[in-house]
Amino acid sequence: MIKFIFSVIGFIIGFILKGIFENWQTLQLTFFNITIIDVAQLLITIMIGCYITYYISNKISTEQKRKEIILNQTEEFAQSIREIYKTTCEYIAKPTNEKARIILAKFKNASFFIDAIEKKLTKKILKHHITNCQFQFLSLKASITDVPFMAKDSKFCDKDIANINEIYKRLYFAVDEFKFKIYT
Amino acid sequence: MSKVNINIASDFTTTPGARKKADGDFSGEVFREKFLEDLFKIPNDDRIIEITLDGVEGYPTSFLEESFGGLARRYGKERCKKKLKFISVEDNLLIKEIESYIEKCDD
Repeated sequence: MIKFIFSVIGFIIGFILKGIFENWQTLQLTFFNITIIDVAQLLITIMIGCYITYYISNKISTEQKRKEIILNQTEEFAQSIREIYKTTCEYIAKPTNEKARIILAKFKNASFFIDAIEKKLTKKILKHHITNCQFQFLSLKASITDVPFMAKDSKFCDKDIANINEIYKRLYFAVDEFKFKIYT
Repeated sequence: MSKVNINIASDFTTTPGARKKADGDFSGEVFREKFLEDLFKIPNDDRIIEITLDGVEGYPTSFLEESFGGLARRYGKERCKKKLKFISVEDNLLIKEIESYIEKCDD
């Protein structure tokens, strides 16, 4: 920060000196009748201006980085959900213990991402959207991993499958809406 | 106030099963009967039950609902909320999920 301010001040002094030397012939003698206080005032004004510019641009870039991290984690979460849905379709067609374990592990992984996203949010409106995503996520988990999941002769009926599809769509749209809200 | 600690991964299993005993090994019903019910049977027992959820591959909803929702149906959700304390570093959402099953036990 200090290095930045000194660089800017150095640049401005250089710029002024260049102006003086280039316009030496036309300069009035009264131009040099300045006091130390005038110089100090000018430098303080420049420093404040530089600091405010630096502070604002730094804040904007930090916020931009934070949004990018949130968006990346949201993408990871969405990817986990797609994988859960795909493995669930395979499990419904041919239930095995191995596939059931994969689904549970993927739910745990997705849960980690959505929790990590929630912890990074500061805006109330985004918190509201992520709470909706969490609700839909837990509904999807319940629709997939409650009975008949892992039960002996595990067989999902048409109503169960329609319910899973419906909740999956709702979660998908909720995640999309959240991604859109990050940048608005 | 004294505490009872239960670590699901080390005391029960790392691969929890489904809802009922008939569904296979390590069901929610077995966990509830083996680990939780005895601690709720004595009416004035005010010990806190601290349950560590980490170290498990993943929890099916059926297991969680039968263990904790089932416990709330038998002994009341207020008593469950008062006595049960959950710990999870790996998955914070899991605690919210369990609390929702206790809350919705009558549905």
